[in-house]
Amino acid sequence: MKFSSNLQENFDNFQNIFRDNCMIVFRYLENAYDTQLKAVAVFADGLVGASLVNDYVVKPFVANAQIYKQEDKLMFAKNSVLQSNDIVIVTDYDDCIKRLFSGDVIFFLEGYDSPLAVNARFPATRSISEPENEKALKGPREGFCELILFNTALLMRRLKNDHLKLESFTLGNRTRTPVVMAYIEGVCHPDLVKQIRTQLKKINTDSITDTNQIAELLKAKPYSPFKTTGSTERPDVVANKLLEGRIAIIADGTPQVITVPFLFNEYFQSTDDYSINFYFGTVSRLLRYLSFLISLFLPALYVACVKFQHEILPEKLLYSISASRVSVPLSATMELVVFLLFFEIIREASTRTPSVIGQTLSIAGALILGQTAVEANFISVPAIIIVAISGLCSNVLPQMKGAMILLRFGILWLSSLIGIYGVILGGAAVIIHLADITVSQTSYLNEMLPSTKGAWMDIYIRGPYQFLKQKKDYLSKEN
Amino acid sequence: MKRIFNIFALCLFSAWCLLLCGCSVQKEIGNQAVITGLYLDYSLPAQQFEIAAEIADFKGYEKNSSLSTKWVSAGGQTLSEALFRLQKNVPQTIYFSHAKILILGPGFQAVSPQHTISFFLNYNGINSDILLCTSNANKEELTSIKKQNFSTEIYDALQLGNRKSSQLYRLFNSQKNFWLLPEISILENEACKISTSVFINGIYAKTLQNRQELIYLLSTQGIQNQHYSTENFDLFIKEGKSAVQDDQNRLLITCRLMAEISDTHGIIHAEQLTREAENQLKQKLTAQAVSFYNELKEDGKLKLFFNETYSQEPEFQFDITIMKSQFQKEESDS
Repeated sequence: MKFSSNLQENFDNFQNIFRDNCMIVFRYLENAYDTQLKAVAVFADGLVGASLVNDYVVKPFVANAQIYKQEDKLMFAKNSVLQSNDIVIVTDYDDCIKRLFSGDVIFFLEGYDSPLAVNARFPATRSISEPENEKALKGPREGFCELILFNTALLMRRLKNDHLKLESFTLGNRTRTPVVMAYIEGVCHPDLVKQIRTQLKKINTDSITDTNQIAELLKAKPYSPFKTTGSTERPDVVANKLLEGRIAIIADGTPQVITVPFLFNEYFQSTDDYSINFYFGTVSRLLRYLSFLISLFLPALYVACVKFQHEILPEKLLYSISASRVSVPLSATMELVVFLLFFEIIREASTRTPSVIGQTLSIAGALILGQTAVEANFISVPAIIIVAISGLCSNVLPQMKGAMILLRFGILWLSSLIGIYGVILGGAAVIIHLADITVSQTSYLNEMLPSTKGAWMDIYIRGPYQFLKQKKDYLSKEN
Repeated sequence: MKRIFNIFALCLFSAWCLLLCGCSVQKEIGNQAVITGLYLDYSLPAQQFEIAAEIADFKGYEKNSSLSTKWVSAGGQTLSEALFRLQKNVPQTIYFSHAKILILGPGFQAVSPQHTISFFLNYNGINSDILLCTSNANKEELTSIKKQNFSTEIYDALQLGNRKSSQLYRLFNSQKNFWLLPEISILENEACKISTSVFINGIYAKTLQNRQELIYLLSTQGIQNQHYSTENFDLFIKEGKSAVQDDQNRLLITCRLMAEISDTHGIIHAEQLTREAENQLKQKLTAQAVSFYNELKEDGKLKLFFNETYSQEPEFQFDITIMKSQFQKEESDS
């Protein structure tokens, strides 16, 4: 659609377009010194500040005594009448609509076929707060919010560097979501920047309302349960990732910022590791690796021991398990599958319900399901312990929760078929799959087998800060 | 095409895994008859094996309560037949791997147990570290014992006595021509007395009583880390070796021992401790050695234990070194 130089025509066109949108306001204006000089201000109620519209657009235009004398009234209005810090002449209709919904006032002037977009944005968003899902014991408490401007500002405040690049994209044919690709020039590999830029430009979808959609569209192996893009709500984490040579993608409307590439070892890293003494950081990290193994393999190992390889069990443990299973009607596999599912249901229910009820729900779930199931001989005590430990361990790595649930059931199934060989087969399959993933021309397990001296200092352990390499060799060539 | 091939290869591999490693062998732990101990006897006149298994009963087993057990028995012309019949007498699948002891009955004093050991060593499911012991009790005596979890009790007692050398695989791999197996005698009050039976070249030779085992080991292969008590002392023998000197005039068996005092009974002055301990140990060991020799002579089993070329009465000589122990240091300090 093209704009007309006839104000009435533009006015009618816009009224027609937004006839069913009650939040679009049309303000008809006349200059007090020349009533023939007319204008229309169009804005979205709620996205602009009412006083800002009055102060930036209405008052200056109506009360201006000079504008009617000017030859180029539009340029005069842009440069000398309207008060906003950001005024642009819009020639493209799509751009005009995008700006209207971003909180600009579209100012049509009689006799001109290009309106002005006047920034009178009044961002309605929640204040910056600590992310609920990524609480840190120590360190910064700030988290991203839903407004991209705030999010980029939080990032810029941490990286006061002229090499910080923030490239803008608009994704989603209908949502026209502003998306920013952030990286540090000279730290991030140019090929990686080029690749992600190309991938972002290629995205052709109607809507982008969350960064997770972008993450899935960028995913190297779409059907893999493992993530290849990191996700965080913490600006300090994003700043560190950028310093390592990664790219951050920020989208308007979501506090989740994704970082690419995301490698397997990043599941086991946490912000807290760097806020505490490196001994404790190392212990925490090793515990995370241990939790991953326990969560993935413990139910399968239990089934293998109970159904196939009893010889592995020490005498007393064998007696104890045998005694507890004497009256249980379900097979070892079935009781684990059923109760792992119950566990996931309880967890899902307590996540979805308000926090106070959620706590009650989890306690009730644990007590009622666990204790009464044991008393009713529906499940054995060792199985309850296995489910509880395994579930608890999966909570240590919240980012890998989905993958762990899926793989746990897979390995459990293999184990119930062929015992300990199934556990080994499942483990091997997971390793082969992980080794097969390539993220931005980097192997997913790249950091798990460090080739350079000292690189392991931040992988299996959290080494002292002076030994940590900020910049990753495989992500950067230039300094 | 490649994807189809990959899926086909995966299916083939999975099927191969299933066939090889097998769901066919799966056995739920709750459906197993867990055997804690085995008894085996051979009746020479009837030429029949008798087997009895102590099976754990988990009903009512709790953390602090002891495990209740029951004996199930069967017989057969061969060991396989006896085991097959034993399985017939038990509703669940018999599970041998946690069996701790294998008791050989009195029948094996007449027949060599070597083939039986070999059979069990190769029998699928039996742990090769099962402890082998003998007993003079027959099957009826053993299975009528009212004591619960008898095998575990015996096993624990044998573990305390450090009888690991009688584990099945150790016996089979042993280069020695004799085996020393613990022998269990069941007393009237159902308590047990453990002595040692000696099998030489796979044949039962003798049951050793009252530290005869120590004299026998000392004069044949040497000893290490043994406790020994005399009238006034508890001694810890660190090492003992023997040497045989066979002259035309005399047969001299010289035993050299290094020991230290663990404890004393009665009041003895600190300076005399070492000399007194040395004398008492020497006297007691000499008396026991002579008595053992005479007993063997009376039983006509000298040739089994000592080299048959020895034609003379042996003379035992003990060179004993009492080392200063921590106990003596504390005594002298006080």
